[in-house]
Amino acid sequence: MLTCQNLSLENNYGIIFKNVGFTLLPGSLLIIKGANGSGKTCLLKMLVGLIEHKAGKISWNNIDINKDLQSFQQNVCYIGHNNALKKELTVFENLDFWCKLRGSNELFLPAIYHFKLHNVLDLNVESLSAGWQRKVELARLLLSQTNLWLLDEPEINLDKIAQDLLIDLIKVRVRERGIVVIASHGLDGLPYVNYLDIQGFKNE
Amino acid sequence: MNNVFVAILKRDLVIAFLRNGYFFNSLAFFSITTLLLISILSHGDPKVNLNLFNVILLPYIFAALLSASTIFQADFNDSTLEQLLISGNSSISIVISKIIAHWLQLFIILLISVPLLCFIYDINLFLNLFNIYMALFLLSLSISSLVTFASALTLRISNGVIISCLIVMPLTIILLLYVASILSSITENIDFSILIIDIKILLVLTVVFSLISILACSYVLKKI
Repeated sequence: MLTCQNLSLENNYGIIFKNVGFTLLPGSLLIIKGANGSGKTCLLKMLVGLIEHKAGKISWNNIDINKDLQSFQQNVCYIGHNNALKKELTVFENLDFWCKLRGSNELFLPAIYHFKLHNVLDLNVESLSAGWQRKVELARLLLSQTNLWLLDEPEINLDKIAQDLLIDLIKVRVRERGIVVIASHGLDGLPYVNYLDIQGFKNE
Repeated sequence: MNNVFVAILKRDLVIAFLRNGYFFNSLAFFSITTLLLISILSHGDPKVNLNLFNVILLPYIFAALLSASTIFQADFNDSTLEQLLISGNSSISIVISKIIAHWLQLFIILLISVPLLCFIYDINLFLNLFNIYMALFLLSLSISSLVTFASALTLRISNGVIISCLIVMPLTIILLLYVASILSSITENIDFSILIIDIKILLVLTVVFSLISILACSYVLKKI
Protein backbone atom coordinates (compact mmCIF):
# COMPACT_ATOMS: atom_id res chain seq x y z
CA MET A 1 0.00 0.00 0.00
CA LEU A 2 1.34 3.41 -0.98
CA THR A 3 0.25 6.39 1.09
CA CYS A 4 1.15 10.01 0.47
CA GLN A 5 0.16 12.76 2.88
CA ASN A 6 0.45 16.50 2.43
CA LEU A 7 3.27 16.42 -0.10
CA SER A 8 4.40 19.87 -1.15
CA LEU A 9 7.04 21.13 -3.50
CA GLU A 10 8.30 24.58 -4.27
CA ASN A 11 11.15 26.00 -6.29
CA ASN A 12 12.71 29.46 -6.60
CA TYR A 13 9.67 30.69 -8.57
CA GLY A 14 7.00 29.62 -6.09
CA ILE A 15 4.81 26.70 -5.11
CA ILE A 16 4.56 23.87 -7.65
CA PHE A 17 2.04 21.83 -5.69
CA LYS A 18 0.79 21.80 -2.12
CA ASN A 19 -0.85 19.21 0.16
CA VAL A 20 -1.02 16.39 -2.37
CA GLY A 21 -2.28 13.20 -0.76
CA PHE A 22 -3.62 9.80 -1.83
CA THR A 23 -3.65 6.16 -0.81
CA LEU A 24 -3.20 3.34 -3.30
CA LEU A 25 -4.10 -0.21 -2.34
CA PRO A 26 -2.55 -3.26 -4.07
CA GLY A 27 -4.07 -3.59 -7.53
CA SER A 28 -4.54 0.17 -8.01
CA LEU A 29 -3.80 2.29 -11.01
CA LEU A 30 -3.39 6.05 -10.75
CA ILE A 31 -2.93 8.46 -13.64
CA ILE A 32 -1.53 11.87 -12.72
CA LYS A 33 -2.76 14.57 -15.04
CA GLY A 34 -1.79 18.20 -15.37
CA ALA A 35 -0.40 20.79 -17.75
CA ASN A 36 3.28 21.04 -18.60
CA GLY A 37 5.28 22.21 -15.60
CA SER A 38 2.55 21.33 -13.12
CA GLY A 39 4.88 18.96 -11.24
CA LYS A 40 3.91 15.49 -12.50
CA THR A 41 7.52 14.38 -13.01
CA CYS A 42 8.61 15.94 -9.71
CA LEU A 43 5.85 14.07 -7.88
CA LEU A 44 6.97 10.77 -9.41
CA LYS A 45 10.59 11.53 -8.52
CA MET A 46 9.47 12.33 -5.00
CA LEU A 47 7.66 9.00 -4.78
CA VAL A 48 10.78 7.07 -5.80
CA GLY A 49 13.07 9.08 -3.51
CA LEU A 50 14.98 11.00 -6.16
CA ILE A 51 13.62 14.29 -4.82
CA GLU A 52 13.55 14.70 -1.08
CA HIS A 53 10.10 15.54 0.28
CA LYS A 54 10.63 18.33 2.78
CA ALA A 55 6.96 18.50 3.70
CA GLY A 56 4.53 15.63 4.09
CA LYS A 57 5.02 11.90 4.32
CA ILE A 58 5.29 8.94 1.95
CA SER A 59 4.65 5.46 3.37
CA TRP A 60 5.03 2.05 1.80
CA ASN A 61 3.02 -0.60 3.65
CA ASN A 62 2.62 1.87 6.52
CA ILE A 63 6.38 2.41 6.92
CA ASP A 64 7.90 5.80 6.14
CA ILE A 65 10.08 5.30 3.04
CA ASN A 66 12.81 7.49 4.52
CA LYS A 67 13.37 4.93 7.29
CA ASP A 68 14.84 2.47 4.79
CA LEU A 69 14.89 4.08 1.37
CA GLN A 70 17.11 1.41 -0.17
CA SER A 71 14.71 -1.44 0.72
CA PHE A 72 11.75 0.59 -0.54
CA GLN A 73 13.51 1.26 -3.84
CA GLN A 74 13.99 -2.47 -4.35
CA ASN A 75 10.19 -2.61 -4.70
CA VAL A 76 10.04 0.16 -7.31
CA CYS A 77 10.57 0.30 -11.05
CA TYR A 78 10.74 3.89 -12.27
CA ILE A 79 10.67 4.68 -15.97
CA GLY A 80 11.66 8.29 -16.43
CA HIS A 81 11.16 10.72 -19.24
CA ASN A 82 14.59 9.88 -20.69
CA ASN A 83 15.54 6.36 -21.66
CA ALA A 84 18.24 5.14 -19.29
CA LEU A 85 20.09 3.36 -22.07
CA LYS A 86 23.71 3.45 -23.14
CA LYS A 87 23.60 4.26 -26.82
CA GLU A 88 27.05 2.76 -27.44
CA LEU A 89 25.91 -0.65 -26.21
CA THR A 90 23.63 -3.16 -27.91
CA VAL A 91 20.07 -3.84 -26.77
CA PHE A 92 21.24 -7.14 -25.29
CA GLU A 93 24.08 -5.49 -23.36
CA ASN A 94 21.76 -2.82 -21.98
CA LEU A 95 19.11 -5.27 -20.80
CA ASP A 96 21.73 -7.69 -19.47
CA PHE A 97 23.20 -4.83 -17.41
CA TRP A 98 19.85 -4.04 -15.77
CA CYS A 99 19.19 -7.75 -15.23
CA LYS A 100 22.46 -8.08 -13.33
CA LEU A 101 21.75 -4.97 -11.33
CA ARG A 102 18.35 -6.29 -10.29
CA GLY A 103 19.64 -9.86 -9.98
CA SER A 104 16.83 -11.18 -12.17
CA ASN A 105 18.34 -13.15 -15.07
CA GLU A 106 15.35 -15.48 -15.36
CA LEU A 107 13.14 -12.55 -16.44
CA PHE A 108 15.32 -11.65 -19.42
CA LEU A 109 13.48 -13.70 -22.07
CA PRO A 110 9.91 -12.66 -21.13
CA ALA A 111 11.01 -9.02 -21.29
CA ILE A 112 12.47 -9.48 -24.77
CA TYR A 113 9.53 -11.40 -26.18
CA HIS A 114 6.81 -9.15 -24.80
CA PHE A 115 8.17 -6.14 -26.67
CA LYS A 116 9.34 -8.25 -29.64
CA LEU A 117 12.95 -7.17 -29.21
CA HIS A 118 14.49 -10.48 -30.33
CA ASN A 119 15.30 -9.14 -33.81
CA VAL A 120 17.14 -6.06 -32.57
CA LEU A 121 19.13 -7.60 -29.71
CA ASP A 122 22.50 -7.25 -31.47
CA LEU A 123 21.94 -3.71 -32.68
CA ASN A 124 23.41 -0.69 -30.97
CA VAL A 125 20.74 1.37 -29.22
CA GLU A 126 21.81 4.49 -31.14
CA SER A 127 20.89 2.81 -34.42
CA LEU A 128 17.29 2.26 -33.28
CA SER A 129 14.41 4.63 -33.83
CA ALA A 130 13.03 6.59 -30.86
CA GLY A 131 10.07 4.21 -30.63
CA TRP A 132 12.27 1.12 -30.47
CA GLN A 133 14.49 2.77 -27.88
CA ARG A 134 11.41 3.41 -25.76
CA LYS A 135 10.41 -0.24 -26.10
CA VAL A 136 13.85 -1.33 -24.87
CA GLU A 137 13.47 1.03 -21.93
CA LEU A 138 9.99 -0.30 -21.14
CA ALA A 139 11.31 -3.87 -21.22
CA ARG A 140 12.99 -2.99 -17.92
CA LEU A 141 9.52 -3.19 -16.35
CA LEU A 142 9.58 -6.93 -16.88
CA LEU A 143 13.18 -7.37 -15.73
CA SER A 144 12.23 -6.89 -12.12
CA GLN A 145 9.26 -8.26 -10.22
CA THR A 146 8.64 -4.99 -8.42
CA ASN A 147 5.32 -4.15 -6.79
CA LEU A 148 5.30 -0.46 -7.59
CA TRP A 149 5.67 0.95 -11.10
CA LEU A 150 6.17 4.68 -11.55
CA LEU A 151 5.93 5.63 -15.22
CA ASP A 152 6.61 9.10 -16.58
CA GLU A 153 4.88 9.48 -19.94
CA PRO A 154 5.66 5.89 -20.92
CA GLU A 155 3.73 6.18 -24.19
CA ILE A 156 5.98 8.78 -25.83
CA ASN A 157 7.30 7.71 -29.25
CA LEU A 158 5.31 4.47 -29.18
CA ASP A 159 3.08 3.46 -32.09
CA LYS A 160 -0.43 2.09 -31.50
CA ILE A 161 0.73 -1.55 -31.40
CA ALA A 162 3.44 -0.83 -28.86
CA GLN A 163 1.03 1.26 -26.79
CA ASP A 164 -1.33 -1.72 -26.69
CA LEU A 165 1.54 -3.95 -25.52
CA LEU A 166 2.26 -1.46 -22.75
CA ILE A 167 -1.41 -1.28 -21.75
CA ASP A 168 -1.57 -5.11 -21.60
CA LEU A 169 1.50 -5.12 -19.37
CA ILE A 170 -0.01 -2.53 -17.01
CA LYS A 171 -3.31 -4.45 -16.85
CA VAL A 172 -1.47 -7.66 -15.91
CA ARG A 173 0.58 -5.86 -13.27
CA VAL A 174 -2.54 -4.35 -11.70
CA ARG A 175 -4.33 -7.74 -11.84
CA GLU A 176 -1.34 -9.26 -10.02
CA ARG A 177 -1.92 -6.79 -7.15
CA GLY A 178 0.81 -4.38 -8.19
CA ILE A 179 0.47 -0.61 -7.92
CA VAL A 180 1.00 1.52 -11.04
CA VAL A 181 1.31 5.30 -11.03
CA ILE A 182 1.53 7.00 -14.43
CA ALA A 183 2.13 10.62 -15.34
CA SER A 184 0.59 10.90 -18.76
CA HIS A 185 -1.21 13.17 -21.20
CA GLY A 186 -2.80 10.49 -23.30
CA LEU A 187 -2.65 6.83 -22.39
CA ASP A 188 -6.15 5.55 -23.15
CA GLY A 189 -7.67 2.12 -22.82
CA LEU A 190 -6.89 1.37 -19.19
CA PRO A 191 -9.78 0.16 -17.02
CA TYR A 192 -10.50 1.08 -13.37
CA VAL A 193 -8.25 4.12 -13.41
CA ASN A 194 -8.04 6.67 -10.61
CA TYR A 195 -7.16 10.16 -11.76
CA LEU A 196 -5.25 12.84 -9.90
CA ASP A 197 -5.25 16.30 -11.45
CA ILE A 198 -2.16 17.86 -9.92
CA GLN A 199 -3.10 21.26 -11.29
CA GLY A 200 -5.72 21.55 -8.56
CA PHE A 201 -3.12 21.35 -5.79
CA LYS A 202 -1.26 24.52 -6.67
CA ASN A 203 -3.23 26.96 -4.57
CA GLU A 204 -4.82 24.79 -1.90
CA MET B 1 27.15 -5.69 -3.93
CA ASN B 2 29.23 -8.05 -6.03
CA ASN B 3 26.71 -8.11 -8.90
CA VAL B 4 26.44 -4.33 -9.06
CA PHE B 5 30.19 -3.80 -8.79
CA VAL B 6 31.00 -6.26 -11.60
CA ALA B 7 28.12 -5.08 -13.83
CA ILE B 8 29.06 -1.38 -13.65
CA LEU B 9 32.79 -2.07 -13.98
CA LYS B 10 32.29 -4.32 -17.00
CA ARG B 11 29.91 -1.87 -18.69
CA ASP B 12 32.19 1.15 -18.16
CA LEU B 13 35.26 -0.70 -19.39
CA VAL B 14 33.47 -1.99 -22.49
CA ILE B 15 32.37 1.57 -23.31
CA ALA B 16 35.81 3.07 -22.60
CA PHE B 17 37.89 0.48 -24.46
CA LEU B 18 35.66 -0.85 -27.23
CA ARG B 19 32.97 1.67 -28.03
CA ASN B 20 33.67 5.35 -27.70
CA GLY B 21 37.40 5.19 -27.02
CA TYR B 22 37.75 7.28 -23.84
CA PHE B 23 40.81 5.14 -23.08
CA PHE B 24 42.45 5.95 -26.40
CA ASN B 25 41.82 9.68 -25.88
CA SER B 26 43.65 9.51 -22.55
CA LEU B 27 46.41 7.36 -24.06
CA ALA B 28 46.89 9.76 -26.98
CA PHE B 29 46.91 12.81 -24.69
CA PHE B 30 49.38 11.15 -22.32
CA SER B 31 51.71 10.00 -25.12
CA ILE B 32 51.78 13.35 -26.91
CA THR B 33 52.34 15.46 -23.78
CA THR B 34 54.98 13.04 -22.40
CA LEU B 35 56.91 13.05 -25.67
CA LEU B 36 56.70 16.85 -25.90
CA LEU B 37 57.83 17.30 -22.30
CA ILE B 38 60.73 14.88 -22.69
CA SER B 39 61.86 16.44 -25.95
CA ILE B 40 61.72 19.96 -24.43
CA LEU B 41 63.42 19.06 -21.16
CA SER B 42 66.09 16.75 -22.51
CA HIS B 43 67.22 19.08 -25.25
CA GLY B 44 71.02 18.94 -25.02
CA ASP B 45 70.89 17.70 -21.44
CA PRO B 46 71.05 13.90 -21.18
CA LYS B 47 70.97 14.03 -17.35
CA VAL B 48 67.26 14.70 -17.49
CA ASN B 49 66.82 11.06 -18.44
CA LEU B 50 67.36 10.21 -14.77
CA ASN B 51 64.03 11.87 -13.87
CA LEU B 52 62.00 10.42 -16.67
CA PHE B 53 59.53 8.83 -14.27
CA ASN B 54 58.86 12.19 -12.70
CA VAL B 55 58.30 13.67 -16.14
CA ILE B 56 55.50 11.20 -16.91
CA LEU B 57 53.61 12.08 -13.73
CA LEU B 58 52.47 15.46 -14.97
CA PRO B 59 50.89 14.22 -18.24
CA TYR B 60 49.41 11.33 -16.27
CA ILE B 61 47.70 13.64 -13.81
CA PHE B 62 46.41 15.89 -16.59
CA ALA B 63 45.05 12.84 -18.41
CA ALA B 64 43.35 11.71 -15.19
CA LEU B 65 41.82 15.12 -14.57
CA LEU B 66 40.63 15.56 -18.14
CA SER B 67 38.92 12.17 -18.07
CA ALA B 68 36.93 13.22 -14.97
CA SER B 69 33.98 14.10 -17.19
CA THR B 70 33.67 10.48 -18.32
CA ILE B 71 33.06 9.14 -14.80
CA PHE B 72 29.53 10.30 -14.00
CA GLN B 73 28.57 12.90 -16.63
CA ALA B 74 27.42 10.51 -19.36
CA ASP B 75 25.39 8.50 -16.84
CA PHE B 76 23.91 11.71 -15.48
CA ASN B 77 22.96 13.00 -18.94
CA ASP B 78 21.18 9.83 -20.08
CA SER B 79 19.47 9.27 -16.68
CA THR B 80 21.36 6.03 -16.05
CA LEU B 81 22.79 7.52 -12.88
CA GLU B 82 19.38 8.13 -11.33
CA GLN B 83 18.36 4.58 -12.24
CA LEU B 84 21.54 3.26 -10.60
CA LEU B 85 20.83 5.25 -7.46
CA ILE B 86 17.26 3.94 -7.15
CA SER B 87 18.14 0.35 -8.07
CA GLY B 88 18.14 -0.55 -4.40
CA ASN B 89 21.90 -1.09 -4.36
CA SER B 90 24.37 0.63 -2.11
CA SER B 91 25.71 3.87 -3.53
CA ILE B 92 29.10 2.97 -2.06
CA SER B 93 29.38 -0.04 -4.36
CA ILE B 94 28.45 2.19 -7.31
CA VAL B 95 31.17 4.70 -6.37
CA ILE B 96 33.81 2.00 -5.85
CA SER B 97 33.10 0.47 -9.25
CA LYS B 98 33.36 3.92 -10.87
CA ILE B 99 36.71 4.59 -9.17
CA ILE B 100 38.11 1.21 -10.20
CA ALA B 101 36.91 1.66 -13.80
CA HIS B 102 38.58 5.09 -14.01
CA TRP B 103 41.72 3.82 -12.31
CA LEU B 104 42.04 0.77 -14.60
CA GLN B 105 41.76 2.90 -17.73
CA LEU B 106 44.59 5.14 -16.57
CA PHE B 107 46.84 2.69 -14.77
CA ILE B 108 47.13 0.61 -17.95
CA ILE B 109 48.79 3.66 -19.54
CA LEU B 110 51.45 3.67 -16.81
CA LEU B 111 51.77 -0.09 -17.00
CA ILE B 112 52.69 0.19 -20.68
CA SER B 113 54.71 3.40 -20.61
CA VAL B 114 57.19 2.63 -17.78
CA PRO B 115 58.89 -0.43 -19.38
CA LEU B 116 58.68 1.33 -22.75
CA LEU B 117 60.56 4.35 -21.39
CA CYS B 118 63.13 2.07 -19.72
CA PHE B 119 63.66 0.35 -23.05
CA ILE B 120 63.81 3.51 -25.20
CA TYR B 121 66.16 5.41 -22.88
CA ASP B 122 68.18 2.33 -21.96
CA ILE B 123 67.51 2.66 -18.24
CA ASN B 124 68.25 -0.45 -16.23
CA LEU B 125 65.65 -0.26 -13.47
CA PHE B 126 64.11 -3.69 -13.76
CA LEU B 127 65.30 -4.63 -10.28
CA ASN B 128 63.36 -1.68 -8.90
CA LEU B 129 60.37 -2.06 -11.17
CA PHE B 130 58.21 -3.43 -8.35
CA ASN B 131 58.84 -0.34 -6.20
CA ILE B 132 58.20 1.99 -9.11
CA TYR B 133 54.94 0.25 -9.92
CA MET B 134 53.91 0.21 -6.26
CA ALA B 135 54.42 3.99 -5.99
CA LEU B 136 52.57 4.62 -9.27
CA PHE B 137 49.78 2.19 -8.32
CA LEU B 138 49.12 4.01 -5.05
CA LEU B 139 49.37 7.44 -6.66
CA SER B 140 46.97 6.54 -9.46
CA LEU B 141 44.45 4.99 -7.06
CA SER B 142 44.45 8.12 -4.88
CA ILE B 143 44.04 10.36 -7.89
CA SER B 144 41.19 8.33 -9.34
CA SER B 145 39.39 8.44 -5.97
CA LEU B 146 39.81 12.20 -5.67
CA VAL B 147 38.82 12.82 -9.28
CA THR B 148 35.70 10.65 -8.89
CA PHE B 149 34.61 12.67 -5.87
CA ALA B 150 35.25 15.99 -7.63
CA SER B 151 33.40 14.75 -10.69
CA ALA B 152 30.33 13.89 -8.59
CA LEU B 153 30.50 17.24 -6.84
CA THR B 154 30.39 19.19 -10.11
CA LEU B 155 27.81 17.10 -11.97
CA ARG B 156 25.21 19.83 -12.28
CA ILE B 157 27.69 22.55 -13.22
CA SER B 158 28.44 23.28 -16.86
CA ASN B 159 32.18 22.98 -17.58
CA GLY B 160 32.43 21.06 -14.34
CA VAL B 161 35.72 19.46 -15.39
CA ILE B 162 37.60 22.70 -14.82
CA ILE B 163 36.10 23.12 -11.37
CA SER B 164 36.81 19.43 -10.61
CA CYS B 165 40.45 20.03 -11.53
CA LEU B 166 40.64 23.04 -9.23
CA ILE B 167 39.09 21.09 -6.35
CA VAL B 168 41.52 18.18 -6.49
CA MET B 169 44.58 20.17 -7.53
CA PRO B 170 45.96 20.96 -4.01
CA LEU B 171 45.82 17.34 -2.83
CA THR B 172 47.11 16.15 -6.19
CA ILE B 173 50.14 18.43 -5.95
CA ILE B 174 50.99 17.07 -2.49
CA LEU B 175 50.75 13.49 -3.76
CA LEU B 176 52.68 14.36 -6.91
CA LEU B 177 55.59 15.89 -5.00
CA TYR B 178 55.71 12.97 -2.58
CA VAL B 179 55.67 10.32 -5.30
CA ALA B 180 58.23 12.29 -7.31
CA SER B 181 60.59 12.18 -4.31
CA ILE B 182 60.01 8.41 -3.96
CA LEU B 183 60.73 7.85 -7.63
CA SER B 184 63.89 9.94 -7.38
CA SER B 185 64.98 7.82 -4.40
CA ILE B 186 64.42 4.68 -6.46
CA THR B 187 66.39 5.93 -9.45
CA GLU B 188 69.22 7.18 -7.24
CA ASN B 189 69.33 3.88 -5.30
CA ILE B 190 68.80 5.51 -1.91
CA ASP B 191 68.61 3.27 1.18
CA PHE B 192 65.93 0.59 0.71
CA SER B 193 64.59 0.86 4.28
CA ILE B 194 63.82 4.60 3.84
CA LEU B 195 62.07 3.77 0.59
CA ILE B 196 59.87 1.19 2.31
CA ILE B 197 58.84 3.77 4.94
CA ASP B 198 58.00 6.24 2.17
CA ILE B 199 55.85 3.68 0.38
CA LYS B 200 54.09 2.80 3.64
CA ILE B 201 53.28 6.48 4.19
CA LEU B 202 51.98 6.68 0.62
CA LEU B 203 49.85 3.59 1.28
CA VAL B 204 48.30 5.25 4.34
CA LEU B 205 47.63 8.44 2.35
CA THR B 206 46.01 6.42 -0.42
CA VAL B 207 43.75 4.54 1.99
CA VAL B 208 42.72 7.77 3.75
CA PHE B 209 42.08 9.71 0.51
CA SER B 210 40.20 6.79 -1.04
CA LEU B 211 37.97 6.19 1.97
CA ILE B 212 37.13 9.86 2.37
CA SER B 213 36.45 10.19 -1.36
CA ILE B 214 34.21 7.10 -1.44
CA LEU B 215 32.11 8.25 1.52
CA ALA B 216 31.91 11.86 0.35
CA CYS B 217 31.07 10.86 -3.21
CA SER B 218 28.38 8.48 -2.00
CA TYR B 219 26.86 11.29 0.11
CA VAL B 220 26.98 13.76 -2.79
CA LEU B 221 25.28 11.32 -5.17
CA LYS B 222 22.41 10.83 -2.74
CA LYS B 223 21.82 14.60 -2.73
CA ILE B 224 21.81 15.01 -6.52
